[in-house]
Order: sequence, then structure tokens, then C-alpha cells
Amino acid sequence: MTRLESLASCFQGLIPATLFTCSRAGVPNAAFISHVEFVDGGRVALSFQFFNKSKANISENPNALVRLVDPDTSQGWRLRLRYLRSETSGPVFDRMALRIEAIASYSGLKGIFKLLASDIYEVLSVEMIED
Amino acid sequence: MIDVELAAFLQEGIAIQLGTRNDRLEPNGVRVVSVTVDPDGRHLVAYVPDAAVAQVLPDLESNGQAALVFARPPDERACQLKGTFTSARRATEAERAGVEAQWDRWLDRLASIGVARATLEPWVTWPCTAIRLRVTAIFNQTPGPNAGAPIA
Repeated sequence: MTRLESLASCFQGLIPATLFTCSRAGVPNAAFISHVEFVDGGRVALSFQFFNKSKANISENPNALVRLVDPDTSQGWRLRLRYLRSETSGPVFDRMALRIEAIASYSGLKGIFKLLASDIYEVLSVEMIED
Repeated sequence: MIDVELAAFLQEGIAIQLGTRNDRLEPNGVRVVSVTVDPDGRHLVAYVPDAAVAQVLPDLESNGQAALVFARPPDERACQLKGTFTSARRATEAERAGVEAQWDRWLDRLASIGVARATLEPWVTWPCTAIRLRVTAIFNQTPGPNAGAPIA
């Protein structure tokens, strides 16, 4: 499997990622997300900013897929994920809160973007996107 | 269901992704090059590069469930369409100019916010599979307090 560490450019947040989830009833959901945080060689964190369908789906079905783009090479990557837990404090949360604040500031969404939790996911696979 | 104003937004050249799921409730997703909304406002065709369509087509043929997300930087207007699969076919050469023109407008939009066209120009835009969906629900997805509210 491609090492997560080698995708450092993808985690800069220059090009938004896409999060795909699915409800227990089998309804898929797709959402653009502002940031994917590298945690360690086997985990990433996604920002939880609003109570939305993605969050509801993950609470009942932990399977998720994230598509990332490396802004340096244009190569896309597909991460298959499994939700582990949410953190509302600690170093990962603090790093993400700062990043979200910066994104909100330059995208004119200050006061709307606010980190509520860092959702921690196990990375099951890393796949190169075909197109 | 999709009115004239919303159809114009969906087709203006913005970010589009298609989500599906398999029978184990594992999600899948691909980039969409462009869409065309049927005049009835209840169906649309999503053009997905042939190179990637195998990621979602088996799901669509198996259970029919689809979600399309649309987003437009820099104002972050976004919405999500839920739909069911009706058919898939090879996109024709007659459709190519329209598909690539919509993608080109997307690259222009990205350039206007500082993402160089060269960043995404290597991405495949043709040949495509034309996936026709029946729209069953539309939700606002613009960041903020109204995100998730039904539009139609």
C-alpha cells in the first residue's frame, strides 16, 4: 500500500477533498470537505464543523471514502476509511482548529467555519485514482 | 424539480462528484466532467470518464442509489442531488464539445481563484460514459446554518 506519509502535499488543503459516506438505509452521500489532517501512518482526521448528513451516516455506518488531489502532481488518491472516534481536544484537534480558522479567514467564512471535533479514521487502503 | 436557475448553476462549470455505494454499504465516488439537465427538470446526465466509471457503474447497476454534489468556488454555493440510476451508455462524439466546454469553464473558474489550469489539465475528460439519473431530492449544501435543508 502507498504510504500515507508520501501524500503530504494532499494534506495541505489547497484543493478541497471529497468525502463519500452511506446511511444504514443505503443512501449514499457526497460532500466537499475543507481539510484532511494526517495523524500518523495509519490514520487521518476529518474536520467536523456542522451536524450534517455525513456525520449522521458515519455514526451509523463507519465506512467512508475520501478523494484527495496532490496539488503538485495533479494525481488523485482514494482513501478507504473506517471511522474510529471523535476528539474535541488534544494536539490533533488544536492543529485542525487553527487550520480551519485560517481556511475560514481566506475564504470569507469566518464565523461559519468552526471546528466542533476532529473525527479520527483508520485508513484501510490508499489507491491511485485512474483519471 | 430542477428549475431553470438551478439548472444553469449545475451546468455552469463547477466542481461535481458522484457518490454511490456497494452492497456492503461501502461508498464509492468519482469525478464528473459535466452534467446536462433534461428539460423535464427531473433527470440529468452525468458524464464520467471511462477511465474511472468502473468505480461506480457496478454499484449503480446493482442498487441504483446515487448522490451528486456540486460546489462553486469562491462563493461556496453548493447543493446535493439524490437520484436513482436509469441508464448508462457511451457518450457520443456529438456530445463531446459540450462536455469539454463545461469542463473548460470549470478550469477558468479555478484559475480565477489562483489554481493554475495546468494543475487539472492532465485530468482525463474524454471518452466518457453518460450516466442518466432520475432526481429524487435536492438539498442545499452551502456551508452555514441552512446546509442540509431540502431545496426541492
